[in-house]
Amino acid sequence: MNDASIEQLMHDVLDGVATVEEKQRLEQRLATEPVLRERFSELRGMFEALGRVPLVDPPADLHAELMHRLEAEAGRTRNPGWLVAFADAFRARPVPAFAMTGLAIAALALLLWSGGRSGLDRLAGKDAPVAGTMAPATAPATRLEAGDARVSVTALITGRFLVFTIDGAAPSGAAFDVETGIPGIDGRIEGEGASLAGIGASTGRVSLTLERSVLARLTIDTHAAPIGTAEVSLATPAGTDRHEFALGPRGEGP
Amino acid sequence: MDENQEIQLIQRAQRGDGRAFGKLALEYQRVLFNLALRMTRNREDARDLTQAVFLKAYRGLAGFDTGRRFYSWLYRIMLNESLNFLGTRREQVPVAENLADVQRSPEDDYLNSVIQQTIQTALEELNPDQRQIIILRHFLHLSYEEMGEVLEIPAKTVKSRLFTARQSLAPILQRLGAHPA
Repeated sequence: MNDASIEQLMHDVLDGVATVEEKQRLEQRLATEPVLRERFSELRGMFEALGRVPLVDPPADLHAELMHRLEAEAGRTRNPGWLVAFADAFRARPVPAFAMTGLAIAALALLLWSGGRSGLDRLAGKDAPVAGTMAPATAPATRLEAGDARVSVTALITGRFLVFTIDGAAPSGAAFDVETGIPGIDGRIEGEGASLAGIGASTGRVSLTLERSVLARLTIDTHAAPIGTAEVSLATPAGTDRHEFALGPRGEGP
Repeated sequence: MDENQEIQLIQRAQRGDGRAFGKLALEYQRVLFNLALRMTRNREDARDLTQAVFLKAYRGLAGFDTGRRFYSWLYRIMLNESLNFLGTRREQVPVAENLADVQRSPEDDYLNSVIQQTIQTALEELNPDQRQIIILRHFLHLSYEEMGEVLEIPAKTVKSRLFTARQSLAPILQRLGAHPA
């Protein structure tokens, strides 16, 4: 075996791709040849040094920024999520999907026939007036950092609902709270990396627990109560970071 | 995320579901960012490249064959983008400035931090083709077969290129004192 092939064999052994026989052959050579032993030690040192380079976390707002750019991109060729879900339903189970469509059309026709203005209002969300306009209003995104947890947060008022998106990473877990000051609120969480820890019915506080990669939406039902500000906070054992969203008095939006 | 879930997300994204693509991006952003960071040695460049790669992937997703592995397709785009970027970039920002904020963890010991800096410096002395093959194997821990898929070369060629790249890297690391002589 020449120098080049013994060197390749060392790489194969260190790479974990050598066979048992090849490994034994190298061990025999190393046992009797100090020069080879020294070379193998050098190579092993290089492999170990390379193995000490860890993956680093990307910037906490990388994903949020990407999603904004994707939305802008999709805006030109909009394909609504509900439409995609609808199309998926037809592909997966055509018959039940057709049946559901038929029922939905029948229900809509009945509603129109009955002259149910209040029903139509409900469909349009008009029983949920918080802001003066029904157009959703978004506050600028903010970034919270506490220890190794970093999240981007956006707030949006739509109808009677206050919606927060939370995007980032909380590698060792973190507590995320929203203080609305509105008693009697309800809340639900969707997405990944966040779970509902509690809702203070009297205090108007919603508490979440974050874990690892977070991409979640928190929807708070204010039951049409006026919204002024909402304070969000991110807490880890290393510290707490806060931000107050100025959402404006009722009718003005953020 | 298992393979079936990933294929479902890809198929939804191919039909224009941005949220599905967002989940895929969340899954792969860390590794792509690291790939870009090691290729460019600059956090801001790595950030821009990661964004650009995801946008490019989103635009080209309709043509993606779900019989292929998604990560290898993404890595391939990233490597092409990185090589194009390196071909056009004239000024290099010093490594120490770039990686200083990467090593945020207080428990990182001094030795590890010195070794990481030295390895990054040594990687800069390799040509980009050698650098990418070292990154794929030692930082992203891909197998020869997976590397072959990303680089679109046979596994046997991966093995010989990797061998050559390491042979170039070893004396550099030794000169910089990153491993015992």
